[in-house]
Amino acid sequence: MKETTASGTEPGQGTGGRAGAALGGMPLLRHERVWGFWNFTSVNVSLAIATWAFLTGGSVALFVGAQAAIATVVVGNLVGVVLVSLTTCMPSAKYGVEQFVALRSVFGRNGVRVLLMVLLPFLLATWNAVLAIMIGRALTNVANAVLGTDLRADSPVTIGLCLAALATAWFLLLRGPMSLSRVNNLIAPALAAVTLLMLVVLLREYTPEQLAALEPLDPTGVPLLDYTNALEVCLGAGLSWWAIVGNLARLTTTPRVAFWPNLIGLFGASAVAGTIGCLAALAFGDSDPTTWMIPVGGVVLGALALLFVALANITSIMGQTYSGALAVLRLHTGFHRLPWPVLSALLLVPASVMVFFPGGVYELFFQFLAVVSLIVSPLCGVYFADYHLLRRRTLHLRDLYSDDRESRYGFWRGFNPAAFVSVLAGAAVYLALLNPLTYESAPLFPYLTASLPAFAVTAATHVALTKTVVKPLNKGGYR
Amino acid sequence: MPPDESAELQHRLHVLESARSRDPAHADLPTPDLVLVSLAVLGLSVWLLWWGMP
Repeated sequence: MKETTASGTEPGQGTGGRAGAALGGMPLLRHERVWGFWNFTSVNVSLAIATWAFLTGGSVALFVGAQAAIATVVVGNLVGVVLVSLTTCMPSAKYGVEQFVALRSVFGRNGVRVLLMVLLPFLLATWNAVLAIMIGRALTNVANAVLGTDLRADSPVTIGLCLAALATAWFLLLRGPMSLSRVNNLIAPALAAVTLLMLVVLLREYTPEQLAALEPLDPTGVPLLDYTNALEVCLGAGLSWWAIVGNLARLTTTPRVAFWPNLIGLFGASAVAGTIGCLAALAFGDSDPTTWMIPVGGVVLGALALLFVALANITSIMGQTYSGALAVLRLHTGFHRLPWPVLSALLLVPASVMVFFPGGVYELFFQFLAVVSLIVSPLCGVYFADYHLLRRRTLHLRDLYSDDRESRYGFWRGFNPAAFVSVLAGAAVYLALLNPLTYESAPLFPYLTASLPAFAVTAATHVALTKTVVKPLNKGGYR
Repeated sequence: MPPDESAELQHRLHVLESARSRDPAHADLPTPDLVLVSLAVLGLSVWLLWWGMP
């Protein structure tokens, strides 16, 4: 993520000392926490506006019209971001630890490894593939508009551009992410300005009444169900920050700095960009933002926006890959011996394969968001319950790093089955309410959503199991 | 963990656990902030969901 850029840490420069603190997930010292309020806000804005918000907006347009879209985009992102921020930012910021180190207090050391083995290949590969495909499509559309070519969205040239984007991200990671911080500082405001300009152009073409009258692109025909489907998509977008935002927050200087910028950046910027993405998708009848930017903004503004999108996505791929590297190092000490170029390249390989199937990955984005919710809402619930309700926001730093025999977070051979049972219970509730692949839902889904009950059931199950089983057996260091 | 990293970790833990370590980041989000965000999220969500309901 962009956290590394401002931290002054350089992944490519060894694993000891200051670099090791970031790459190896060691606790940060006071002088290493370098992000104040506006630094962290700027990072969050650039991260949020890096195109997934446009994609989310396009997905919302499948189900609902403009007014309902504004409501669901705002509420879904707000609730998701607040839950994620309270859950992951607070412990990581308070103790200066990487998120998957702090999660040892919930799942145990080996439990975190299991979690990473399930999460990493799926989340990292798919997010990076989505971003790379968006770059490929954006550049293809720029070529079509500016050079007069007639390239298809799934042409070999587009796939080549996707691969080139991944290669560029890898190359820049080798140079160290510090070099990109200055670029990020330019891209984020520029993309924000272009996005707002898109809104102005859109509002010149359509009156608010005309926008409000636009029909959704692919509704089910049941208004309340469509409304909740759209809300669920946005909850997924908000919750999807779970895997990365804690690692960002550990570089902040106070708990307030760790929390409030998330609402300006991850929520505010996402909601604005998502709303614009939705309105444009409704107006132009296509949920893919790379297809409507040139029709909305004209060749110059549209091509400029698409180029900014491509640049922003490259920095996001870098950030995700770096965050993935932090996580992989938790899996096995053998990974510490891998040279940085090899490790970063290995992490990009799955996405490189997925970009050969651009339609399959990119056009199923809203199903992907639902699968993310299926996984992340229970994880968020169990972490929230463990840190805020059971441990009363207190962790023991040394025990996060000690051997299982000595650590209060040793559980059973480094594995806390109660946390996993709770997560499975939450996931089962989600699946009972909504099928994330087909969007077939239970009668209660339109009234409850699926993510929020999954969060609540996971949290309640974890509290109950911990109080009745784990704590009486004197495991986990619960008081 | 390689020996140099292990030594670095021990050094960091020692610094962070020492009585002289005073880091303003080592704190919880203040209660007024929690109350404010809870009320704002609840109020805004209810109002917007009612407003946007088809």
